[in-house]
Order: sequence, then structure tokens, then C-alpha cells
Amino acid sequence: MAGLVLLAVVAASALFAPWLSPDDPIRVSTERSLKPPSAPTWFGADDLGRDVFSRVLFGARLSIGYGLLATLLSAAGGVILGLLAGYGGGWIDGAIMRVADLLLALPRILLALAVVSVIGTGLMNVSLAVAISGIPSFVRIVRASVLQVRALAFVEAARSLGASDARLVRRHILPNVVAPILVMTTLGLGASIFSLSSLGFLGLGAQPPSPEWGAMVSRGRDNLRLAWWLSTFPGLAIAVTILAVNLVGDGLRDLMDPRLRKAGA
Amino acid sequence: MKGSAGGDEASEREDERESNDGESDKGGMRMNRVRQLAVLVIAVLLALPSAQGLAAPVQDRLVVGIRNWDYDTFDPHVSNFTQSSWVFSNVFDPLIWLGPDRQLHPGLATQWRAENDARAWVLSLRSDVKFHDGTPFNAQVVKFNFDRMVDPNTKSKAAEQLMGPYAGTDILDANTVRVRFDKPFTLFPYNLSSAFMSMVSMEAVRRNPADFARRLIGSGPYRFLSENPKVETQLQRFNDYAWGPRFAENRGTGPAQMNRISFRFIQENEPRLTALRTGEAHLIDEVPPASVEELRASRDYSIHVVPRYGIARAFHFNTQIAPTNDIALRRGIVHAIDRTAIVRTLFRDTYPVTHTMVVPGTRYYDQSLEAQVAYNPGRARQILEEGGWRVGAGGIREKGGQRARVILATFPGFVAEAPAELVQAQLKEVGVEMVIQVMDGGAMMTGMARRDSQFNMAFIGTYDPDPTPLFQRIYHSANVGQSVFSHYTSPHLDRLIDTAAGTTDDGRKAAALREIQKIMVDQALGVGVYANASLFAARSQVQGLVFDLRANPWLFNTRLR
Repeated sequence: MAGLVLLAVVAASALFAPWLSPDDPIRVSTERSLKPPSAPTWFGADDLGRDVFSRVLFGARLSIGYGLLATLLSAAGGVILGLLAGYGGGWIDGAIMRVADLLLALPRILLALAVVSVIGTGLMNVSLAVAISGIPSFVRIVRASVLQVRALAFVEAARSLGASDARLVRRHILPNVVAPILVMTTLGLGASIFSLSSLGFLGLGAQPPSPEWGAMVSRGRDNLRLAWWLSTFPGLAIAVTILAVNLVGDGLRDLMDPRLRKAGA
Repeated sequence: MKGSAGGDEASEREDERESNDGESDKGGMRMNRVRQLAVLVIAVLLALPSAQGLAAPVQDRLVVGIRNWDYDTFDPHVSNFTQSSWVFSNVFDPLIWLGPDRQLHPGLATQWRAENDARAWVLSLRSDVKFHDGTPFNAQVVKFNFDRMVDPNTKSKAAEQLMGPYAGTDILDANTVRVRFDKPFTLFPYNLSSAFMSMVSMEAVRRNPADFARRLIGSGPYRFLSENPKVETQLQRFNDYAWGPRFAENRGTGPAQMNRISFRFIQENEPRLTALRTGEAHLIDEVPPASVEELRASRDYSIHVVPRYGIARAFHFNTQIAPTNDIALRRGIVHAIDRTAIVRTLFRDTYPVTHTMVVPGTRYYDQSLEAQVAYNPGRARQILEEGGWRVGAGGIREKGGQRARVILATFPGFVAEAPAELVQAQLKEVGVEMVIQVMDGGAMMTGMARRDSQFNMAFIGTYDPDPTPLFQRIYHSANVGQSVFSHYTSPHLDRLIDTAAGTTDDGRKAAALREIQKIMVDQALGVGVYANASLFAARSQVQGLVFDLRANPWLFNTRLR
């Protein structure tokens, strides 16, 4: 519940950033360079005199927007491959799962870095890289769920009634594996935002002057001793957002898992 | 550099996993505790003597903290890395010194004179010099060194270029050589003062060519002691040293002052500053400009800002592709950039402001051109209007359907990204949109110089107290596609550069270099922002720290009070 409220707040600040922020996030104002947090500039100003509060608000749009995009792409790719592997079985299953295992063996951020080094930097490419690096875990979850559902009696019944493979997957299997996909997507969003920020921190994501959180934390390091607010606020924004998303994900899992629900009741 | 920080994190996680596996069963856990205890005891015992050593101040060792750990090699003929030269310039001597008075002084060569219109140079050599391995320095060694610099197998990145049109060396007697060139080469004695042209021991290279970079043998005031790659390099005083330049306080009279010099490579700014504050390092480079004020205010530290002469950190325009092929747009941009505001806001006035692309103080600098490139947004708008650039959609100017949208290539880090963002805002004020693309320095330079470059501007500095070799590199038609960033060349410009590089008449050289600077301004080939500088902080006990004209620290005379 707390997670939901927190997420609502973060999402609202992303959605309404243009109305909530007191200033243009990329407006340079040299006279207020490195101004500490105070009345009009709540989170202080950065070295170029840009309002950090406005930048954090607009940064929410980038981080959540591209994080969502990356996660949905991961989910789409993962569901298709997972269904193919789980339902198709045989060599298709073997091939898909061995590749997935191989990719799972690598830390996610390393995989994303490798993809970025091939397709190039920039927010869109980095999102794509994060999406690709997220696919293997989706494949695993979806495949496992499909294997479970496929063995159930009603699927067998539908098949004996002459349902085609496509119809079986669409009408009988997919609806029954939606719950884990949903939970995974929510939890994956947190991980995607984190990966995006990490790559942004390394200077691979948003190009200046975009107010991307990871890039803001990285740039703030240069003045950390003089201006703690530069890295702290975008860092907090990353932490709060991921916490919110994870809390919601956990709640969703509890809600959708009948075993856990019974234990809770 | 940033990438490696991520790599370290990943390896830490690996380690964690391994130790967790080790503790998976109870028996293993007990064994591990015992082992850990044993290791701890041994570690404490081992640490005792060195802890005592730390408690007593080691005054005979100078510790220098350096940021750029990604140096290439300490072999002077192979390297082109500034921070490498800070280390190896203590191990090797040059044939000629460039003194603080901007004049050339005898080094291992006592005299030099041109022959045949500077197509050959005769060098007289000192006869009393010995390398650290005891072998003598003589004409044969000099010939060996020059031949090594231009040998393709050496894979030289700086020395070979500095040798210019080298044709060969004749040994006239044991201490005299004639160096021949295919064309007049007046810059030769000056180039010999570069640390990358230092003399190495012929015997040491011949004995073990592959390993020379790890067992440096020179004739300098310090001998190479040890290297822990990318972490620390230690040098030890060479007690027989007696051939330092006359302008150094104690050189020429005897060996260096410190028993040892230790170079520690500390990449991150905060830890490097902390090393200085705690006394772990006596001297550090690349002080973050934001910390300069604080250190300056304290009596415990001194700050040394030494400008790098040559071409400033400047925006070079690509004159071949739209829209920067339009001279009015280039001129407009030149007047729209407020360099003083950039240096004040971002660097707290630490770096010197520049006006034209050339750093004030560079030899043959033409100060009279400054007024023609001054910051004046009103003038910028006027030039753009007159040039046909009318304000269009979103306040961005247009001309014949072409938007005033320029792509800037720049490199990562505070010194380049932050000015770019500020300039982006300044250009918007006059109706020019700038898109910033951040990439590593190498990619930026090759990307800007290649014939099919898609960058309108790049932020590049290139340094030498004498601008002749720089102009040659960035404006001579022979280097198109390699290093002509502005893609601007002309037969007239080529002639001027050739004159400056070939003449022995200083008046003719000065006239040619002035004319080149005028063309750079008239054609608006670029705009200087600030002079890159060596930015050092030293603890107050550090004495006798001197910088050469290339902004490199000279440590042979440095001592601790």
C-alpha cells in the first residue's frame, strides 16, 4: 500500500513535471551557480545554475518512461520466447534455454554494457540494451509457468477437442501465465530503472543537457565536497522510485499467489 | 576510466560469492575462522615494522599523486603521454633544454649549428656522461637513439614525428654527430628539448629490447627503481649525476635532492585530494577547480596553475559541411561565446581565458587580434542577420531552409562537458541550436578530422610553446583527413606554414606565423575558450618545484623542508 502511494507520487511528478517544476530544467543561470538548497530552489542549483528540483522532476520522465519502455520490450521478447520454449519443447526449448542460461550467467549490467558497445550510446540505445539484458529472466519465468499449465487437465481437454496450437496458447495457456508475467514486469521495472541510471552514470545514456538521474549523480561528483545536493537528490530519486516499484511488485506477488494469500488470511 | 569503476564493482561481487561458497557447511566455517585468525596475526606481525616506518615522517621521499593512471609506457621514444613524461623525464636527459627564459640551453649536447640551410645539424656532445648502467654516452649512442626513434619497429607515437624529415646520422668523431634531413628543418634543436626525444642507454636497449620499458636505463638525476603498473612507480637518486642544466639551482653541481620519488596513480578526485590532505602525497595534479579556492586559502598548501601554451581548448569549426560552411554563422558563433563567464562559473577563474584559438604567451602570439573575436552577443546577432540567418521556428535561425543547428563533438568530464552545456545555452540566446555528442577524446579527434566528418564543431586543445608544429598539423594540406579539424586549407596557408617551419630567419618566421593567425581569425576557423593548464597542489613543505614551458613539472630540484 505504501508502495502504491509512493509510486503514485513519483508517477505524478513525472506526469505533471511541466506544471510542478518552478523552472525550465535546462535553463542556465550563471549567477546562481552552486546555490545551496533554499526557498525558490528547493534542491539547490548545479554548477551551471540550473534548478536541481526541476531537473529531478523532469528526470523522472526520462527514467520512468525509458525504464517502462525497456521493461515492456523485455517482457514482450521474454513472453514470446518463453512460450515458444515452454510450449514448443524439443530442440527449440533446448536452443532458447541454453542461450538464455548463457546470458543469465553474465551480470545484467555487463550484458547491457556489451550491447551498448555494439549499438552505440544514447538513451534509446541504452534502453534497448537494458531491454535485451532483461529478456533471459522473463524467458525462464514464462517457460516454467507454461510447462506447469501445459500439463493441466483442461489444456489436455481442449487439445482433445481439437483446439489448434495457436488457440491453445492464446486462449488457455497465456491467460494462466499472466500473473507471474505481471509481477515480473513490475519488479523488472525497478531493475531497468537501476540499469538505465547506472549506464547514465557511466555517461552512456542521455546526452547533455538532458536531466537524466544517473548522469546527474555522475556530474555532481566533481563538486561533491562543495555541493552535496548535486548528487544526493537525483540519487534519492533513484532510490525512492526503485523502492516504490519493488514494494508494489512484492504486493502484487502476494496478491496473485494463492498460497501466500491463504497464509496471509 | 569510468567504465573500469563498474568493472571493479563487478569483481568485488565475484569475490563475495566465492567466500560465501566456502562457508556453506559448518566444518568449513570453523576452518575458515582459524585460517582468518592466522592470516590476521601474520598480517599484524608483518605490518609492525612498516607501521613504525609510517609513524616517523619519511622526509627523503617525495610522493606525487597523479590522476591519469592510464599511461602508455615509460619508454620515451614510444610514448606520447604527458603524465608518462613526468615520470621518465627524471630518468632520462634531453640533448637540449628549453629553459624558463624560453631559450635553448645545453643538455647532453653542448653546441649545435645548422649546415646547408638547416638541412643538417652538427651536434657537439658532452664527454663526461655515464648512463645508470655505467655505459658511456657518445656519438654512437646518439646515432642509435635517432635511428631507434624513426624505426617502424619502435612504434613511436611522438618522437618519430619530432624527428621531421630525418635522413640519417653521421658520426664525425667520438663526441660529434651530423644529423641530416631531406628538407630544411629549423625546428630540430627545439624539438630535441622534448622529453620524448631523451637519450636512452644503447647497451640496455640492445641487451633486452622487449623489456626496456620495464627496466629503464637513462642518464637522468633519478634511476628507475620499480613499477607496480597503474598503481605506483618509484625512482631512486642517481648519485653520480653531474650534468644538469645550468639554469637549475643545483644541477650541474651535483645529484638531485630527494632520495626517492614515488609516483602514485590515484584516478578519483576526492581520494587524490585526501591523499594530499593527509600527507600521504606531497604533490598532486589535476586539482578540481572547485577545490582550488579552499586550498589557496590555507597556508598548508600552494597551488600551481601552469598554462599549456599552443592552441587553447577551443571549438574548431568544420568549414566543409552545412551549416558551419557558412562564414557568417561561424563568425556569429565566435561572438556569442562568453569565455569569461565560462571560466568564472565553472572553473572559478582558475584556467586562463583565451580569445583567439592561440593561448596568450605562446611564441609569436598576436594580441592585436583579440578585439576581433571579443564576446558581443549584439554583434553576433547583427552578423547572423546580415548573413541571411533569420529567426525561425522555436527561436532558431534559418537560411534558405537550412536550420542553424550544429553538432558538437566533445569528450567526457567536467573540463569539456560543462563548458559545452554553457555554450549550448549561450548560442540559444542568439538563435543557434547546438547538439552535444559526448565521446572519448580519440573518437572525437578522428571523427572531426576524417574527410566525411559529420561534426560541425569539436572541442580540442593541442599544445606546444612554439605554434609552428601545431599549425602544420591542423592546417597543412598534407594532413587533410588526419588532423585538419577545420577542413580548411589553401596553397597560401601551406606556403606560410612551410616558411615558418623551414626558415632560419626569425623575422620571416614571425611574419608567417602572424599571417596564419590572421587567417584563422578572418576565416573564423575556431574560437578559443580557455587555456588548458597543469593544475598542481603541493603541501607547504615542498620546495623548488619548477615547471617547464610545456607545463610539465621538473622534479630534479624539488625537495622537502
